[in-house]
Amino acid sequence: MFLSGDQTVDPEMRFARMVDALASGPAAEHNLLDLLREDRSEYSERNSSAVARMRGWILLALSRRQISDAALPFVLEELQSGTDPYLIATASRALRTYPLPNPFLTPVVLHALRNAPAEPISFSGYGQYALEDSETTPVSELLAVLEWLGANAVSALPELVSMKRGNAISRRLRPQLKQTIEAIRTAESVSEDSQQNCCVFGTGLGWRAWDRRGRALPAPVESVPFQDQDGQEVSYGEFFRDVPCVVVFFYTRCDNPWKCSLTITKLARLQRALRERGLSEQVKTAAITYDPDSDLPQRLRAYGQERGINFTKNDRMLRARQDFESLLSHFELGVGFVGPLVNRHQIELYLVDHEGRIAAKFSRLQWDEADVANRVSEMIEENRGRAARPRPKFAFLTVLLSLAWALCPKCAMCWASYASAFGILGLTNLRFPSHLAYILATLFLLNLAVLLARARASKRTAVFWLACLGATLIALGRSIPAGSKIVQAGAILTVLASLWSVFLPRGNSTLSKKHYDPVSGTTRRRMNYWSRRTMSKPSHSFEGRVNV
Amino acid sequence: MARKTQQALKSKSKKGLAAVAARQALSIAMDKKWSIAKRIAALAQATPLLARSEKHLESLLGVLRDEREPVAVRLAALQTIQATSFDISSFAGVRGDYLLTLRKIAQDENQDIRQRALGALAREKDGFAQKKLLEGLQDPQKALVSPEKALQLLSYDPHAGAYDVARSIVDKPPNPTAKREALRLLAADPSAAPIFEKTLLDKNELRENRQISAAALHGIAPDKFQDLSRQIVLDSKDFDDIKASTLTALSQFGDPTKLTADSSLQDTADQLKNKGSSKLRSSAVQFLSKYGR
Repeated sequence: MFLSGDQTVDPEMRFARMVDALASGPAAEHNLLDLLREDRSEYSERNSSAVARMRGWILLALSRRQISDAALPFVLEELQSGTDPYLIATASRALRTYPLPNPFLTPVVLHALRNAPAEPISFSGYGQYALEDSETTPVSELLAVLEWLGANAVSALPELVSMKRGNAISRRLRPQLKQTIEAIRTAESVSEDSQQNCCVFGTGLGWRAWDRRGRALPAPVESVPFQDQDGQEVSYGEFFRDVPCVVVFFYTRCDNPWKCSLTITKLARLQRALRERGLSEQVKTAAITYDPDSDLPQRLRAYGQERGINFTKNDRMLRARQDFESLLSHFELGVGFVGPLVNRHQIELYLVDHEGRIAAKFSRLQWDEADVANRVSEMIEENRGRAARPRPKFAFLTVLLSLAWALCPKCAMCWASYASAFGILGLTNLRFPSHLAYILATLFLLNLAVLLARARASKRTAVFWLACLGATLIALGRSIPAGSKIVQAGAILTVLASLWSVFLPRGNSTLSKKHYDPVSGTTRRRMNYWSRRTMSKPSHSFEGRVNV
Repeated sequence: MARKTQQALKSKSKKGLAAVAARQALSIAMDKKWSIAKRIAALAQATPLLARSEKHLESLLGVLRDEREPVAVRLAALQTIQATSFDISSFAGVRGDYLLTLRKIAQDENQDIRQRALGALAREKDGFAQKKLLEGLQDPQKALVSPEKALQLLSYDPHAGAYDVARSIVDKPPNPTAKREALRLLAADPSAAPIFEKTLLDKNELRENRQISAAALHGIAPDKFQDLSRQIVLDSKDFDDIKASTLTALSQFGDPTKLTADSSLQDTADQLKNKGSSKLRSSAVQFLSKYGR
């Protein structure tokens, strides 16, 4: 015995029993589809063959009832990019329970038929492998799907006839092939309007779009450090900003030719398509590996080069040097692991917006390069439109409020304090605030100078140091990629310092003595008004600014 | 014109004769009355016919399944079928039967047959074979082949999920060969780098295991490998062959900036070029020619 631990209860058998229970319970399809998520803990630390057995058992359970649209991506995924014979066979069975046979399905089934491994399959029990020749095969199950499609599979006839003439199908399956051809021909003659649904079904199947509003970028993912194919370091926050980005996931040890290898080849074609549309400068592309420990920079480069990837500063293949878990949760990746190695994953493509937030996802089914390029164009146009539109009303009001507040009768120092307090907030809502960085910095320094003067006058320097801390935090936050929270904290401190300075008690400073005019009734009234309204005791230092 | 016709006729008759000979050879191979040696020789002659005929391949699969047939004939039949399987298009029709037969004979009484069948299935990344091999490693009572063979066959598929059991075998090897195969299997697992670091630096470890560890580390942790290689070259007590291998690896794959600036490594290489085994001397010369001052 080389392995320790409890070997008496087979977790796979427990899983099979759970599937059987779910299949006979309420909301069976919903629960079974949830169980097909690759990141489920049940698949963790199981090898690829075991994962195939487990998922196949779920598909088989689904095939005992009628599947809905929600199950279709899971089923078609196996036919489009699956290589495991058991999964192809069980997916074929499940597909035959779909209530709407459609011509859209024919190319997918034909693709599977061309590539299906001729391996005997057993459905007799969980984890059973066929040992007798009376069992079914993926090819047999796929022929049954074409027969079920009937007139919808007319486009498959030439290829089926060619198969019948050749020796690609075993002698035993030739009678079934003949029967399938006859069934399609008979159905075709009966139904003349079989093509009416063609090409409508399936449009957009697999796309899922998110509303970006209110979808804040989680802080941990922004600081995830990446290394690219040249060994250059870049963080998520640095790379995924300014322009939208197409992101795909892959790993170089993937042995499924229809998944990672094809994904990277298609990404290279997408790059060419974007170049041809003149969009290559307005969009980035990134291929992130699921297997960062193994996919070292030189391996990423070789893998990309072999598949035609054009590497630029905006087009990179990346490995997370740390904190891959943040990426997993941010993208909600459909991937499972056995040790450090992937045991199963989806096909996943994401559109990430210019602020690093996920805008759309394409998963499970094969994506089309032209379709993605169209969506990228739309996204760029949408961003342009958004930039051209006026700012939201509330932003305008904020600026207006700060001006109105600043124009209230008061001294120059109050004016500066209010303007700086509200102006800081308002500036962030102005378009292209980066162009105003120098003005903002000058105002900051002015604010600090005023506060220093006020602090000296009142002999309370804490307000000045608070403002200094705020300014430091803002400068620090702006200089690091994940500093948005720090900037916010700095802004709050600056505002607090500005407000605090307004309410500082009058000190015996030179400034206050020099400008104080006790005869001025107007000033006194103002002081009394503010004292009554805002202060518990009449110690407000407006008195120091009466001569303004 | 007449010449061409004559040549065509000759070629046709030659082909016809070859077909007749192949058919006769196959009938000899299938007939138990003939001696084992003659049947094996006849199988080799019948290969071209088998490549064209699904029916004949099916009958040969029958010989392979038949436990009453001599093991040598069954092994020869398996070899012939495997040779035919390279022609994918003509083999497609019987592929299903072939896999079924392999699964059946994977549990044969004869160890050679079992091993060959499991080997053929493991190359196909067959789930049945992987399950049986893992079960055998976890419970020796169920083992169809030796642990070292099972590990070797499982290493064909990195997704077979054999890393855990391989780690257990490195810790408590049933025999030295099993440990070697476990290390080979783990060479594709980046999280096994600490195992290879320990093995590479352990002077009591078998040389072959240290070489495997060096190769594995070069693949999964190149920076670490460079550090350890340097450490081994500078260690005056380590073995010449290990030093020679690591020094060659440093010459070929090392970081040129670091190596050019490493005066102590260059001094050591300078000393090694005049002493030690010839292999170590040539490695030192090679290193110095590339990075020497």
